[in-house]
This record gives sequence, C-alpha cells and structure tokens, in this order.
Amino acid sequence: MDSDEKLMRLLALKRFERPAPGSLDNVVAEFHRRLRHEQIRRAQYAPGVLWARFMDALLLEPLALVRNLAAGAAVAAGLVLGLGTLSLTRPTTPITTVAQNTLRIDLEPSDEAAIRSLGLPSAEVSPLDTLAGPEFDRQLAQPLVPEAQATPVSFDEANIVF
Amino acid sequence: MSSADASPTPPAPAQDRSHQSNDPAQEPDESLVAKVQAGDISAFDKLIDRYKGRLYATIYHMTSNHDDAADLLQETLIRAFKAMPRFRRDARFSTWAHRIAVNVTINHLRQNKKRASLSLDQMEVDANELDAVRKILSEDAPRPGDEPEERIAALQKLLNESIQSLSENHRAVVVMHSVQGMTHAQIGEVLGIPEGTVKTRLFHAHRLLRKKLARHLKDL
Repeated sequence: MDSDEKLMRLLALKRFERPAPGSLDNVVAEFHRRLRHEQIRRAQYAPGVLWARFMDALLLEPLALVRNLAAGAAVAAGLVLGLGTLSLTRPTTPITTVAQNTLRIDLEPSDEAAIRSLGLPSAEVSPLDTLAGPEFDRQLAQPLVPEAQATPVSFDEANIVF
Repeated sequence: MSSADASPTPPAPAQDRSHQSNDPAQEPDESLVAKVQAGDISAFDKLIDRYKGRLYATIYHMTSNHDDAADLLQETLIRAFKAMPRFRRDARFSTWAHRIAVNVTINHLRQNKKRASLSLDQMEVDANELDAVRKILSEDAPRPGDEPEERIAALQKLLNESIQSLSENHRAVVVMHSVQGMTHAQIGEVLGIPEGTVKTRLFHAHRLLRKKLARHLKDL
C-alpha cells in the first residue's frame, strides 16, 4: 500500500467522528430563535422606527430628551476643546539642528592666486579640489559653531529625557 | 499527481442519515425551494432537517471544534435563508448551501487564526464498525495488547492537528474530498473553481499531510 493510499485511509477515519447524540436535534428551533432576534434588531434601527422613537421622546419625555441632547452636546464640546488645546500647545519655534551649520569651503583671494599659479583657470577648479590641500586643513581647524552664537531657546539640554 | 478519484472508499459509518434527499418518497429540493421563495418558512425547516448533518460535518471537519461548528452552522442557515429570494435555482440547493457553509467557515478561520482550539467530536466506533476501522488502520490482524480505542483517539487528535495546519483553501478540498467523499466536479461547483484547481490544491494538501504524518503512515 503506497503512502497516498495510507493517507486516504487515515483521513477516512474522520468519518467516524460524530457529534454527541441529540446535539443536532434543536437546529431548527435555534435557527428560528436567531432569525427572530436578528429581525428585531434590524427593526429597532430602521429609519422610520428611529424617527418615531425621536418624536415619542419629544412629545412624551421632553425633559429626558433635552437631558440626553445636552449630554451629547457636552461630550462634543469637550472633544472640540480637547483637540483645540492640543493644537495650541504644539511648539511653533523651529528646533535648531546641527546640520544648519554646514561646512562651506570659501576660496580666499590667496587661494585663488595659488590656484592660478598652477596654470589652471579658476573657473575649472571646483571647491572640492581644495579638500586635498592645506586650505582644507585650515578650514577643519575652525569650529563648526561659532562660539559667539547663543544656544537657541528651544534647545534645552536639561529637558532632554532619555 | 496521483489520481485522487481512485482513492479507496472505506465503509460508511452506521446511522448515516445525511443523504435523505435521495429518498424518492420525500419532496424534492426544488419544490421546497420554490415554497420558501413563495414565503413558506416551514419548507425551509424541512431543508434544514435534510442537510444539517452534512453541513455540520463539513464545517466541523474544517474547524475541529464543536462549538464553532454549531455556531457557524446557524450563521450558514441564516445567510442561506436571507439569500433565498436571490437563489436562481441554476445549481442544486445542497451545492449552494455548501458553498455558503464553506465561505462562512473560511471567513471565520481567517479572522480567528490565532485562536485555534480543538474540541473534537467523539470518534464513536461501535462493535460493528471496529473491524472496519481495524481494516483502515492495518490490513494485518490486530497486534496483541494493542487497544484500538486508544490508538484511534490518538490518531484522531493527530489527524485533526495536521488538518488544522493546512491553509483554509487546502483544508476545504481535503475535507470535502478525502473525508466526505465528494468528487472533484462537486467540489469545484461548491467552491466556484475549475476542476483542475481542485486537483492541484488536493495534490499540495496531500503532500503537506504526508509530510506531517510520515512517521504514523509507516505504522499502517
């Protein structure tokens, strides 16, 4: 007997699995119970029924209706205020980033003269060419952020929580 | 790809009442469907009584959980009843109802992937069927000291866990073909897919199951 045939025989064992006796006897009754429940639920939320309930509440229990409407309005107002407060507390000042001070390579007149002495027209020299020379070393020695520049108000190290 | 239609058909268990629609004395399905569509709900009750066993079996074998199967059976019946005005009678009612049952079950399985718990219907084997089961388990004489009931219970659990590990689509074809004995054409009708697709899914499903059950298949 090959493995496929053995597998089929094994799967056929499942045919002997049966529910407890009598467990399917009440299927019809349960079906009707659930159908009724669903029909009642749908009827409660039909547009005509909702309008009728609103009018009944207005005529028979106006105070209860006013109370419910007021509660709903209060919840809505609370949501609006809450969202408005969140938007007001959002910081408007931009946060300074380190990348704001980028390394700029500015050619000084002495550099241009040095470049001209090499016989190269200055227009053909790209600033990147200065990276390989003494000028690059001089530029590197300069601080990235000038000491005189004050720390922006929004950047407070004491308030950083890690 | 082995021919799945040539699979061995083990003896049907006793008290199988799921094929009552074949009884000529009973009112045909088409007549009952027409009555339901005309507003006679008692005709739908008769259809429920006729097919509840088979529908329950399909759902149960796919979920391996009795409570879920009972719940999903009810959902299937409610949906079928609501859709009766749209049922065009170009397919058999049993095929159409099966399609609803399988779709409802697949949706349930997809929504509850993480919550997979087995609550198995008891595998009831009475004395008349024991020989048939022994024949299924082994063609040789029973081994001494080998309690068939214990072995059957262990195999039942293992089988169901293996089937639960299949995808929903693979599970559906295995249950309908290899457990309930439906043909490729019938399964294709139920699932709304070509027969070739049924065969392909069955091939892959069997391959996965053989892998999972390899050790136990050797003992058979």
